[in-house]
This record gives sequence, C-alpha cells and structure tokens, in this order.
Amino acid sequence: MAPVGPRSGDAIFANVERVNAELFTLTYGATVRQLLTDLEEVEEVNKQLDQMGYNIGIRLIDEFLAKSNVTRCVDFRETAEVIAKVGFKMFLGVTATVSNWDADGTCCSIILEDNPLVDFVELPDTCQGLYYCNILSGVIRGALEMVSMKTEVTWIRDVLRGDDAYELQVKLLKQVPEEYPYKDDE
Amino acid sequence: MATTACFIIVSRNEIPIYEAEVGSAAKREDAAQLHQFILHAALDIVQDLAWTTSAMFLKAIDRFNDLVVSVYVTAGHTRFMLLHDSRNDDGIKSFFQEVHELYIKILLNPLYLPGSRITSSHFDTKVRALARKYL
Amino acid sequence: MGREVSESCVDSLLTEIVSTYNNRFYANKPELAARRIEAIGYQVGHQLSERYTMERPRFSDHLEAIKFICKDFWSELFKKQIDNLKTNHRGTFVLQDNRFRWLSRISTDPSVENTESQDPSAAAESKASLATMHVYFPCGIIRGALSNLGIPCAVSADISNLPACKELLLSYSVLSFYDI
Repeated sequence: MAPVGPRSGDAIFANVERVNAELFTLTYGATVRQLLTDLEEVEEVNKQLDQMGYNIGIRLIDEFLAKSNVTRCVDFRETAEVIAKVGFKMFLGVTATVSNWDADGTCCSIILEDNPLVDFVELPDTCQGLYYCNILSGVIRGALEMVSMKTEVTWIRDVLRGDDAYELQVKLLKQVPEEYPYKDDE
Repeated sequence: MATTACFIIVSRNEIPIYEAEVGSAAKREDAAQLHQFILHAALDIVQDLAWTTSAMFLKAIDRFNDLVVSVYVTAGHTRFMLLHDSRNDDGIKSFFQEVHELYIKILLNPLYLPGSRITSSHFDTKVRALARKYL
Repeated sequence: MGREVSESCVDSLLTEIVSTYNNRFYANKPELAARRIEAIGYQVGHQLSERYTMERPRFSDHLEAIKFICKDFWSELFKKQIDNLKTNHRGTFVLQDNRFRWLSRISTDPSVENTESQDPSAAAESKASLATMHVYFPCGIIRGALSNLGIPCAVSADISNLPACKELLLSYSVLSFYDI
C-alpha cells in the first residue's frame, strides 16, 4: 500500500477547530504586558516568553505529527520546510518561507510576513529591547527538541523594530539519533 | 474647513488623554487654553446626558459665543469632544466615527495602558487628516 | 469572517499562562497567581468590549449591557451564547454556560496528568485546583468587559461540579453592582 503523504497546511487548517484570532492576539498581548509589569526587566520578559514557547512547543508537536501525517523528519532541511509550510499554517493560519541556507545545511531562516501575534501592537519607547514574539522562537525550539533536534533560534528581523519582515534564524546544534528504527509498514 | 476647531479625548476618569487644535486659524497659545477650558466646563453636561440616551453622537450640547461643543461618547464612556464654529453636523459625525476606529486601534495595542495619554504620532497625523477632510 | 487561528493556539497559551503563574512564579501563593491571571483576562475583556460595541448604540441601562455580554460578546468569543441568565434583583447576576470550552478541555490536558500523584484523591484535588486557576481568566474577561461598560463589579465562578461530571457547569456572580 502506498504511504499516505503529508497533508497540506491549508487542508489541515480548514479542518481544525478555529477561533477568533483577536482573542488569541489580545490574550498573548495581555500576557506580555503582565510579564512586563511583574518582571520589570525586558530581558527577563524575553526569557520567560521563550520558556513559555518552549513548553508549548514540546506539547504541540504531538498534535502536529498526528494531524499532518508527517513521518518523523530526519533531514533538517525537510524539517524546516515542514515547519514553515505546514506548522505555521495549521496553527496560526499563515505560511512562512524558508531561505538563507548556509553551505552545510544546518542553519536557515524562517521568514514570516503576516504575523497574527502582532496585530494592533506598537512598541512604546520603554520596551525597545523587547522581542515581542519571542514565544515563537521557543515553540520552534521546543517542538524540534522533541524530534531529536537541538537548535538555537534567534531573531534576525522584527517588523515591530522597524524591519520589513519577521525573520527567525534556526541553527541546528546537535541531532540526536532516533532511539528506535522505523518500521517499514508505517 | 472650520476656522476654529479644538478636539480633545477625555478618558472615563475625566482625564484628558489627547488634545489637538485642528482649525485653520493661526495657532495662538491663549486661544488654545480658552478652548480647552470651555471643553472641560462642558464635561459635566456630558456626564449627565450620557446615561439618558443611547446615541453616541450628541450634537451641540453647549455653546460659548459663536462656538459650539459637540460630543461623541463610546460604550466605554470615553468622550471625544469638539469645539467648533462650523455647522456641518454630518461632517462632524463622520469625523467622530472615524476617530473612534482609530481610537479602538490604539486601545487594542496590548502595550497601551487604557486611560493613559495617546502618544502615537501615527494617531495624531490621522486625526489631523480627518479634521481637514470633514470639518 | 475575521482572521482565525487554530483553537489549539488559544488552549495551549492559556494552559501555559496558568502553569507559568501557578507553578513557576507563585508556586506557593495561589492567590497571587490568581490575581495575575485575572488581570490578563481583565485587559482582554476591557479591549474586546470596546471593540464589539463599536457598531451599536451605547447602553443606557445595566441590564442591556449584561444581555450584550451574554449574547453578542459571548458568541464572538465562544461561538455560542450564555445558556441561562438569572438575577436575584439585588445586583447579583448568574451567568451559566453548560458547555464551557475552556473547562471541558482540562480533563484531557496532558499537562494535568503530569502533575498527578499516585493517590487518586490527591489527583482529583490537583485537577480541581488547576480548573479553578483556569477560571480566573474568563472571570477577568467578564469583569474587564463590564467595568469598561460602566459597571464595576466582582466576578466569581462556581465550578463545584468539577471534575466529576462531563457536562460542565459554570456560573458567574456579578456582585456589588451599583450605579456609578
């Protein structure tokens, strides 16, 4: 029997339960605001947002694998494409693109032009060091860690800081080999 | 376009959070102060009126010589107040409605503290453009 | 139809907010964690009530505002209305939602399983206290929305049926309901 291919991000997004994006955007925004109030230091807020994202990422990966029919990616290149085309689409309803690969294929950029997290956001002068969307880098790092890829994710461009797009650099640090072999009939 | 038009936004706690002289007359410091004084004096009238009607646009609630005060009260009781010498009610209503949309965008910014001063220069530019268009 | 995101985004964000405040920042001070989670809801309710009332006449009495919360506002957030609205005519309103999405998910939330110990009664207790934490967010939303509409109030939730029954019952009491 021919293996079932991965489903497209559009197809999955069309079938999942969806909610009003404003509720999500504003809830995230209110969380950032609350963290700024509680932690005072912008650096510390960046860290906590990343940590929250990481925790979300390690949980979301299961839903992602189950709904997308993606068999575990071994190749980092392929994985990055799947995150951008399927992952972003099925959760946030937007597609990202992958570019800026380095020569040995261990570092690339995920570029997001449309980002529902930042609708309505304008950074005040007091928050200049804030990586408002830092939860996203945490989600990617957490999810990849669950498929045995240790990565470092950093912001290269940020529209809230005056750039023309959101760009996250994903760098593969270490790939832990799978503990069990794939079965042919899967 | 109106020669005199002074626009302010007052928060539900009666604190002014935005002010702009948007008339075509030359800017004079003392005139601006007088305008704001008249608007603040009209606040009490607005307070009483707001619970007696469900209309957002309350036209000509107060007068001072040839100047008229018109007001727009949002569901959250933020007050847009305009002191003007023109009699173009439709234009004033459209001005208020479009400023309301701009104001909601400010309010939806999670990093804007409701009731605090509106410092966005983008907002200021847009409000002045709307004043030129409608008043 | 406006922009949408997958429901998992909101669910996992809420779960993470609760766990950040309840398990990490204020592990031994649940009342402080509760206050922060409520404050996050308050801001969202405040913002959304202004937004969803843009196209309609302003409320001239309190009952109209409460009805708006039960119908239009709740539908925007949860795609359904409040099932039942009761009042004692002395300023307390009880809003009842028989299928509240955010709570019906807690029982299947894997992060809850992790916090369970071997002792079944301790497990039930931990589940119930986690559910209580989750409820501060919608309480905050309601309080934020009503406050913005000129109705200062206290909002509390009764989820005493958790986690035993599957049909979850959630009620809100709007207290100290007075004229401004």
